[in-house]
Amino acid sequence: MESSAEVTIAHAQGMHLRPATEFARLAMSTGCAVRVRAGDAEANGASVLELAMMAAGAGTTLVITAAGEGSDRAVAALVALVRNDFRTEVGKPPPAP
Amino acid sequence: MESYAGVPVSPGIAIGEVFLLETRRRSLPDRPIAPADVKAEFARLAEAVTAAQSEIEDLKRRAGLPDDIAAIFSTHDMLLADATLRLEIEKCVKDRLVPVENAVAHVFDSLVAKFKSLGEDYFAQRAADLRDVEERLLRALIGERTEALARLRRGVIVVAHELSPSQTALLDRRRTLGFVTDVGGPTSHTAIIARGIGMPAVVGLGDVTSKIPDGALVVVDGTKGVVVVDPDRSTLAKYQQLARGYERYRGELAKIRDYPAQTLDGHGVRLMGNIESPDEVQSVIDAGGDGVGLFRTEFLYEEGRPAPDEQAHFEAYVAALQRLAGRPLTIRTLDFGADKVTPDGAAAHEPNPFLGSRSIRLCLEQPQLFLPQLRAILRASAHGNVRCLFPMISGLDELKRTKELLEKARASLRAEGAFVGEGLPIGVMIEIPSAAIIADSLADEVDFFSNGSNDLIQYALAVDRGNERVAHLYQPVHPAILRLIRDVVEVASDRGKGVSLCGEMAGDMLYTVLLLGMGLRELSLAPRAIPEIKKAIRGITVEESREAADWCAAARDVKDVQARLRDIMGSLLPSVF
Repeated sequence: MESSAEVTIAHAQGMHLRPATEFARLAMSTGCAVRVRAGDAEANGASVLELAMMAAGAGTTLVITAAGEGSDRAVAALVALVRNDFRTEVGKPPPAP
Repeated sequence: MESYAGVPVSPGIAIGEVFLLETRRRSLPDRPIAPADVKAEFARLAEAVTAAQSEIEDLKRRAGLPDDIAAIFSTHDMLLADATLRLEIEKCVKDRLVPVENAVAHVFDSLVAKFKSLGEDYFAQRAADLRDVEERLLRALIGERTEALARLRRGVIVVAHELSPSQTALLDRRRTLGFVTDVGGPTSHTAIIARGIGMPAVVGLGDVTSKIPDGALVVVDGTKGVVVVDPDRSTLAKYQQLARGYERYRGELAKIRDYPAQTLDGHGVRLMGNIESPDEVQSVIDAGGDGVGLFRTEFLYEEGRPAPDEQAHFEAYVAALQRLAGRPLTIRTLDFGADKVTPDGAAAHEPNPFLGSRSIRLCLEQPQLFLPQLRAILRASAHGNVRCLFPMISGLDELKRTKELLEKARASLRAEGAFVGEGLPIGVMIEIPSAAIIADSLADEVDFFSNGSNDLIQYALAVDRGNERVAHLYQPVHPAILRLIRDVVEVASDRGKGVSLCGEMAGDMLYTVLLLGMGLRELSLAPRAIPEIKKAIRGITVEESREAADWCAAARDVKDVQARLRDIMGSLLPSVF
């Protein structure tokens, strides 16, 4: 099973290390194999390093693809995370720079 | 056979096998590993990752961690666990056949370069996070090597970029024969330790860690500053003979231990020990010392831990006093920078810590840190011969404020009906040139001066003594230094105040005649050097020392002074010079 969705980064500082940390943590917890594409760059969604290396700044559109059981839920959760400025909890400030 | 010349910092000859201790990433030599060792290197990586992660766990558990700091640690944790990163490092080990620490350094170098090339400042700045993680991993990997220091199987020569205080603490001193380091000068940490335990050492050899292979046979000539790798038979024989001669000299020193430190014309000199913990009192007594002239109290403070309470101070002082059995104990109050006592060291970062809020300045800024120590010193003075020494005083106002705090501590003890240490002698370290220049006005406020020559030289000549690029400018007999010390001694003598000198100069027999000639009658030095200095004192008269000091004071060239002192000591102790 594979699912995919697009989402645009609104977080002013883009997918730097700390947002990437939140993303990778969530990606790992889904149990799916997650890939992220931004233009030509592609990253393993579970690797902070690869995510950060994409240098996806604010306004970049990400294509998130998950493969495995529950991939649709995984993609939805990851899209929500990006939309929520990488905040894992509502009401919590965005990850500090 | 190869020879390297460096800075001789601790005399003697050591011959032995190299134990290479890689302590800084830039000194990681590319030593090839066998393909069969690749698996073992992978395992070391896994262990280092686990160690680094548990270190981060410990940090995260600290109470009151701000969210942004906690977020940094989460990122570091995730990076350490990152499969991509692990694969890169493993690939580097396998492709290049290098130890894992080299692979870590290499992979992070290229990652950082990539980050920086991303252009956007924001991403470039995050390179610092990568370096942090790298540091942590390297520490874990190298720490393993450091720990091996504690389990040496036979005598070795430790070859390192630079020894850190924690590595020194671990060192198996019985099995260490000598030291060789890339960096450092006569007063670097390694040099002080080497002299303290009487091991030959040569420092400031450049990148010697990348040139000397682990396990090689080396000769360390700590008297001349030469390191010989794989010596040929005749060279080895020559050094073995020199080593025996040096041993004989040490034997002679042991014999004079119980004689008084007295000049040929009958002037007594008090030889005191510099110590860092109460245990070291024994080494002062064993060496025939007259007391403790400098008790550094920094050992009580541990990095990242809460400051010690009054009781911890008190117990340490009383432990030292009991061993001293009536001999004086000069307690120097807290003497380090803010980073050491602030739980989050980074928060206290100062661009120029040696000119920043350290030592007495920090104490005046944070009386809650200082008062427990002052109370403990006052209370301890009921148990022996205590003197209290304030470091880094730069002006009269600072000294007065310090004394006010001492009075405050005394008043609080009085209110509790405790011993208040009335009449406790107090002194100031003369280690900032301004203090030396206004010694006359400081003298009215204190009972004694202690010239801290290391810092006095460093601050007067604006030279970081640990920086090998400028270490040659660190000149104890610079005319300016001689004038400063002379004036301080004169001011003290005129006013009937005590005066001593407690820097490295005191323990270097090259300067003994000069210090005596300038009027000093109390020196405080590394306990191990006491017999040697005593031997020097017993070979000279005050009259000839005055002549020598006058000659040196009039000289304009540092080289002339050095040569003259070498001549004098050479005629006195031909076996050493």
